[in-house]
Amino acid sequence: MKSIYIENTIRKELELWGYLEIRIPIVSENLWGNENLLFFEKNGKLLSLRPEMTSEILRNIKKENFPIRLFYMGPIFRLNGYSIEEKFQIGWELIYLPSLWRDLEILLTIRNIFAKIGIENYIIEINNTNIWNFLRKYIKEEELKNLKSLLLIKDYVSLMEYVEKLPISVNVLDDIRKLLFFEDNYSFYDDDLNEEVKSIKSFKRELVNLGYSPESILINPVFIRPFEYYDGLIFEVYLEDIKQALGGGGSYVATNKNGEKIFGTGFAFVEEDLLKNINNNNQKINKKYYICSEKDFYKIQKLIEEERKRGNIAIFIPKEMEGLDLKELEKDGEVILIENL
Amino acid sequence: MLEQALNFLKILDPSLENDYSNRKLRFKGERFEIFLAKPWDLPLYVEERVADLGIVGRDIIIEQERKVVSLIKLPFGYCKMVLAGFPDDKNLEEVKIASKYVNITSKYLTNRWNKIKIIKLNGSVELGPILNISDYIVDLVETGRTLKENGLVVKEILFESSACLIANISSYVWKRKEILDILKEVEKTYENN
Repeated sequence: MKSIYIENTIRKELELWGYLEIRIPIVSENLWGNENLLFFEKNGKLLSLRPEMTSEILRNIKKENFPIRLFYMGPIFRLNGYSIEEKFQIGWELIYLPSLWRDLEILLTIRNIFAKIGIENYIIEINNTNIWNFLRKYIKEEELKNLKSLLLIKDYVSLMEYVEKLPISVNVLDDIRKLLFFEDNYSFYDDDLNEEVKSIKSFKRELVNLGYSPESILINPVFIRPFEYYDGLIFEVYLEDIKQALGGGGSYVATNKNGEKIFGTGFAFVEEDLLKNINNNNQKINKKYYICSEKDFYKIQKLIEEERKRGNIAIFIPKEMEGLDLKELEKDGEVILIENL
Repeated sequence: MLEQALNFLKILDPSLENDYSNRKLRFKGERFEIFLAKPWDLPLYVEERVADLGIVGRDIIIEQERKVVSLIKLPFGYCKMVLAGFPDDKNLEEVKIASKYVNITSKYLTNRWNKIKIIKLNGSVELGPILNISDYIVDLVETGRTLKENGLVVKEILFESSACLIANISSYVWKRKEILDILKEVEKTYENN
């Protein structure tokens, strides 16, 4: 499957939901974190190549009452050791005040797009950034920050070792242990924590009511995302044969360059990771290769045109072509050999 | 640690064979398929999802910082990551530390002195202070005998290490129930021993 097909499918689907495509500058004065590419332009100004696109959108967007729906596609750059890593990111944002429908809509767009691309097996891991707030009653802000940095690198061994040294009760410690290895039937000592867990479970129920299968939504209270602007729902998408998450997102609160607070929910992923998975699974889009003699080109036009009217890709290949390899074409689509017209 | 790890796995999967002396690097039980990998390669295998789970020392997990889930400590492979040196401390402008664990040394000790220089050695790091290559060493110590025989003492324990169970991030999502079941069994085995 080709990237252009994925991009067109996503574009078509998001436009049906009212999302508008935007272009974001590749070069920015925003310097982001440690992994992005920085360089001096000839007058000595420090610039960077964007490592992601959401923060640039949030910096530049104006606050409005009406929901703003945007999507973007383009390259992002990161430093991987000494080499420059360029990937193609696709994402969409729904800018509006915190609300259940806003978060649900983003997850529903993902479901529809995956269905159209032909991805059936995936799990969405969900959490709420507020779930660890109950610990503010028991530990210092600095300690909570240390704990979250261990959650981010998924080092639960160091995390347990760290919290065991903190002056907290056995009950709170037990709550942390249960969060680490969470199962749906767990209840907690801390009431605020119980409330937060209840709210995530209720969000999952809403998704199931809207057509997600219960198995495709996994509540994981220890999953957190690296960007600080997240506030509320966060999620990551896992395809069956992929070694890491395909992409993720969540609801956020950020400040634009006018100092206004911007709220929204978004999702982004790297297209190469998706393509790799789809191509590994050898899924075929509706692409048909019509192979017949050059002299019959005009005779099969009606047939091919009907195929295109159905929304399928129909490609003419002359049978006389040098080095025609039908097996190679079969990997990419359906081959229709027409003889004796 | 290999023997202890295999004995431990045999508790979870009794169908695994008893004799590992045949140098086979891959074998199957009814529940697990086992790959034997070098400890320093193992986190990569798990990160790349060649294996869903791995058993490896905590020292290597912290040193490599690979994208894996560190689930729990296992009850074997105990040792300590220490800062060691000659008994007398000197006042130094720049402290030189020899170690195989460059990241750990930097992570735990960068703010300790005004300036530190980390010298990467691949083995016998005790030679660092003896040959005056470094002022201190950072190394994994089991009994402390090698340090003692070379006239070195432990200055500080950076962390305690043991074998740990790690998981691939995606496997921990797709096989969550199976992995949580394994963790429960491990906990039960801990309690019984």
